[in-house]
Amino acid sequence: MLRISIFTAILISLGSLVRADDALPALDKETAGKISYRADVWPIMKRHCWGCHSGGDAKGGLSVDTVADMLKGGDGGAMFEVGKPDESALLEMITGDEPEMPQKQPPLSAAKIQILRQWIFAGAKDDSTPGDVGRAVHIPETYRFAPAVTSVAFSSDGSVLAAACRSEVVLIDLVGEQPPRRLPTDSDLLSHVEFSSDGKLLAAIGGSPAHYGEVRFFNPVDGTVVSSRRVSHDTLFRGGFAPDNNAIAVGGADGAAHVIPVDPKGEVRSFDLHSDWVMDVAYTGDGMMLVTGGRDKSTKVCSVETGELLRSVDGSTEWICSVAADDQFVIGAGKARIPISYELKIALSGVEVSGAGNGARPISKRAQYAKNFETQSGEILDIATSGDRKLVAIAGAYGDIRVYKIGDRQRTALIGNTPNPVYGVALNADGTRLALGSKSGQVQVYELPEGKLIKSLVPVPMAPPAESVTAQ
Amino acid sequence: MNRRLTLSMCLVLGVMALVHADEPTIVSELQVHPTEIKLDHRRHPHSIIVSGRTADGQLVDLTSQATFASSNEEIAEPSLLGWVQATASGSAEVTVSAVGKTAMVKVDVAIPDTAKLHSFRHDVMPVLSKAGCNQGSCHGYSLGKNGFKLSLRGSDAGFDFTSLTDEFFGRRINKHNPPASLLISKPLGDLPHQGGIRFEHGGLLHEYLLRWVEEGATSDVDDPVKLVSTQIYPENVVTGPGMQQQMQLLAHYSDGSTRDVTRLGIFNVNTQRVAQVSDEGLVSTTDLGETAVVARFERVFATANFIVLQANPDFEPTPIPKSNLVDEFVIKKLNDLKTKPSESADDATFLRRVHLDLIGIQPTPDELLAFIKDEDPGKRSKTIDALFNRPEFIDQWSLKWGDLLQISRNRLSAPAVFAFREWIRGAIASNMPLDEFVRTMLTGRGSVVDDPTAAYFAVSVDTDDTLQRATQVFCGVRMLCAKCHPHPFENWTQGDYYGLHSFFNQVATKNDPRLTGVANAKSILVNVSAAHSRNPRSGQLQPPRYLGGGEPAIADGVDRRQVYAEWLASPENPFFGRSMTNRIWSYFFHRGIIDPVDDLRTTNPPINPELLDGLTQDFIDHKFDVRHLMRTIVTSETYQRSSVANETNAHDDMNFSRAIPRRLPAESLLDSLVQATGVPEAFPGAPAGFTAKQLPDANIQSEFLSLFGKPQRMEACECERDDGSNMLQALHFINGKSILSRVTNGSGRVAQLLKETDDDKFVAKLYLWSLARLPRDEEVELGKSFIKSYGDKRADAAQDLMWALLNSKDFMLVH
Repeated sequence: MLRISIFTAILISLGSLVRADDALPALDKETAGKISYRADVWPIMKRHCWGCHSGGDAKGGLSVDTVADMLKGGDGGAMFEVGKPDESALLEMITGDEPEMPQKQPPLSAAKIQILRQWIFAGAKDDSTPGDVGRAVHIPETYRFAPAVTSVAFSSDGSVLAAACRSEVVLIDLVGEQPPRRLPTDSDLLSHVEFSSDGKLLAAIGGSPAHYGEVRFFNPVDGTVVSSRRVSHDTLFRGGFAPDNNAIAVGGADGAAHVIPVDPKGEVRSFDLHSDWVMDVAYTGDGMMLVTGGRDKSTKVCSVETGELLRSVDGSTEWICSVAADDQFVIGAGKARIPISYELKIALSGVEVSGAGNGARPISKRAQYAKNFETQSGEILDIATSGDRKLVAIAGAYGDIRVYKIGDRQRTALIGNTPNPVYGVALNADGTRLALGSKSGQVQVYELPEGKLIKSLVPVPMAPPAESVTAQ
Repeated sequence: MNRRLTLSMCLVLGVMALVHADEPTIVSELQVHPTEIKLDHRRHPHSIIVSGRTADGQLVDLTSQATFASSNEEIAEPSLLGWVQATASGSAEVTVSAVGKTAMVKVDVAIPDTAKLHSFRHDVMPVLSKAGCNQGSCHGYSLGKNGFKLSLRGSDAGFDFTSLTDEFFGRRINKHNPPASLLISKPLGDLPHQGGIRFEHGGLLHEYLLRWVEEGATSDVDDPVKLVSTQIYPENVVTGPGMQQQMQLLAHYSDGSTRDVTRLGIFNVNTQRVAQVSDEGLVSTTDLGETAVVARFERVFATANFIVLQANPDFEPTPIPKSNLVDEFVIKKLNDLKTKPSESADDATFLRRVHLDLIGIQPTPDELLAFIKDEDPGKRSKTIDALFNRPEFIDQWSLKWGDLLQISRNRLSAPAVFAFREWIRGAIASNMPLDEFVRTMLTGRGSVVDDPTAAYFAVSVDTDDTLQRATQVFCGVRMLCAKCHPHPFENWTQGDYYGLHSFFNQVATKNDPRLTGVANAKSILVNVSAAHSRNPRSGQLQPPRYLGGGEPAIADGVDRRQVYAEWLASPENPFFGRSMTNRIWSYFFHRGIIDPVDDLRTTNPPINPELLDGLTQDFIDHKFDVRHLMRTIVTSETYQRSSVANETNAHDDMNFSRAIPRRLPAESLLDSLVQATGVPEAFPGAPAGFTAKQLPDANIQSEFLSLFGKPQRMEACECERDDGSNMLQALHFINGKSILSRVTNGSGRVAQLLKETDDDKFVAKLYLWSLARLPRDEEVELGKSFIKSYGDKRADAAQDLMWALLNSKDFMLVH
């Protein structure tokens, strides 16, 4: 008996705690009517929800950017039905003993929950001021700090060099003595400039970080805007014109490659291929395929017609920052310092499979189609091919630029002591000139293969040096 | 069990509402800190902390009610909150007034002619730490977050600068429209940020980032001026519950300058039940007890100690004993805490405790009765001396070292296990000084047949393992984190880690030629020509570097372990004596002076620094004589105190004012059970007659021992031994055969004692064997009536009674 009573005592001590249910306060029309979305609701959404539920890659497909977005709901259905806060998915998520939302954060206070309930109860009215909530792009007349030159491009005849300088494109005359021409954009930060092969168009690609992406096509002769459009919820990165010059393919922060027609009425096609930012896109020589590389460390090939993934040709240990392609080869390069060239035909030929059922996996024939270039001395930020696709120039954050023959990967030129880092590099049509754009704001042009510097300038107008800073 | 109980008590107390004490009366002069301020920067104001003391000696923060007036506001201008701002070069005095008293602070301002830009190194990086951007769960994560990576807690300024200004075309910084920089708009919450809102518009953090970008986001990564140390004030606070104290955090730089970085410091308290600390370093005490307040600026920590107690002006301090080091420092601290220690434990309790702690088994009835009868006032010391010479003393401490050195057939050959074990037993029997003991092991080589200590290295999987084992066991420092990244709670870097690595990387193993065909038999080789180890961060070879120390010049072709071993076990090593003293202390109490014992770091300060320093020095002065240290501890009044609390020390579970019961370790429990019941335990695979303590490793199957937490010796951590209590253990004691079959055994103790026909004597003998004490009168009566209630089934009654006694806490605990 003694033995049993001890046992019972232990059991009793395990008795569970009982917790009373928290009752929700009453809703009343009068107070509810005074609640403002702009003044009361948006600050709550902004602080507790917006970090994850915004823009193109919103968690659960649910964006709370606007009231309209909230009404639309997410993958899990509607967030709430107007007038019925207590039956809503929203309330279920944010209340209870351990509310599911906000994730990994303390639960919303009762007062905040009450504001949300009252607002929904009173009709979920939107009193926000319509219009662009973004920040206006500001292009100064003269600059205090030289803006980094993120991308450079030669016109097909080699007479003009375009440089992307933060929010504007500057056209530099390489033949005559014309002063640089400034073409403003609506992008806060441009990441790519490129001329079409027929010389009729100049594309400026960029956007506003964490806000929108933008492509603008100019007529490079008179500087007029041909068309312009916004795509995605963050800046667009790099890309290339289709061989027919009717569209440009660019990478986005939404993990997609976007094919954006020059015609403003044409449809944008987005290929969602990567699990992270797509940093660069290139057309193969025949225009049938797109090569993409991105922050998910992979280099992929897909069909332009269907958007279907043809092959993930490689996985790197680091981000891929730039890709290039011609009829036979694909080149990918990035943080991992070694540019790799892939022979397209072998890479895309039939994939052997070993094993069966769940254990089946493709046998990589990587060694047959992947060939390393020389290892660079630092992180690679940009690669560029000559117009004839015979040469490739490789630049990055290490102070020199090297040029190689694509066919045999032999080095043909080395330019030392460049500004560092170099964000953008370009070769002219026949590979006799190389241009670079750097973080320092400098643009330089060299002659190849000697590597003779023939031009070095900051393309934007600088303000006269300010008085030395006096305020501490 | 005891800990859990305390914990639940704490939770209950923590919920209690705060009661604000009456405004305390200040009897002391006004204390200001600092009394002199040197300012060299308009953007770096300096705070003044104002305080006074009550008659009771408690510190009261008067900063928030003080007023500040400058003798020359053109030079130095104090804010309402006591922050002194530099305006122009010159000297001024700030008069501080509070509670009708005044004090002066001298201010010297020397502003250099050339104004300084905002600094990446000293303004932006501290903001990234303060706002939490570079913490391990955010962008400091090894893979970064959302494509943006910073070095963990700002350990690599160059990396962070490049990440912020260069990556992705410089998208995170906008010098042409600074507020639009992602660096600023994301943590403000003006753009969606998964890490949430990290700071407010218009605050200091916002200001620093914005100005730095406006001024061109320049780099001073190579600034030679380095942070040398941080200093927190006040460092020791005795106060009451419901009080507030503003902390001040100062940074001292290599160019001799000092900056008040309170607003950039990161503050935490170690025991949240006792106090909370705000973002700005304002500590609010809530409950009685003690806690460290830990502050961090950049990667350097400073700690302050808070003691929270009720005002007790009538407290009479205990006279400080001078005859024993331990008592001297423990009583000193208890007087600060206004706590009286418990009475001395009675003879039986003392004898059982010291037997269990020193030799791992209860005293027998004969030993106990003889001790009680002995009228010699020095009988306790006499008994202690005798225990050091008992064979079980060797069993007990070779078991301990076997755990720490991970001696087991999982990693060693059977001959190596027994040879190493035998060497350790010899060292303990001869009381080998601890420095010699460790030095010998760290230089072992060859076959265990020739040198049993070579087994120390044979245990290690690789050099990393050796390094981590040696550092954790002999220095009490955990270095594993620093293998891959800077240590998060301490300033260990990969340079420190690979510096240690280089001491041990000459060791190689091969199959032992003296033990051919024996499984796992390894011979230790030393390849003296091995190069230094490579630090993967820098890519450079890292010369040997002592833990927290210099890089000794070591000639080529030398066994570098020898250099390390000489240093390790020398008084010059700040960790060895201290960590070993602390570790040995912990074997006699419920906790170390630093706890956990193998986690020494600034952020885990000792509960009684003077006690640890004093004991450590004594240990070093006595040439690392372990028995001397143990004797100092167990002969102290502190060790011999009763576990019964008095009205002043009931809440104390950290300062050794009373004995806190601990569960017997698995081996002592089983050996004592065997002795009590007279029924031995057979261990399959071990020589007959081996006690639990004598087992060579945990590969001997024993359900009992594993249930009660005997370690597998896979880790160099004390924590591998589980000294907790759980339901399975309780059920095993209640229903398992360990006790049941023993009390019912026909040739066991109960059967033997049944010959005693006098019930009084019979009950007493049961108590003596089971609990190593005599029963109290009421226990005798209860026992007798229990036996009577069984009628003629006297044997059943005796078995049930002993079963109940062995199931009691009196048996399970060292009390």
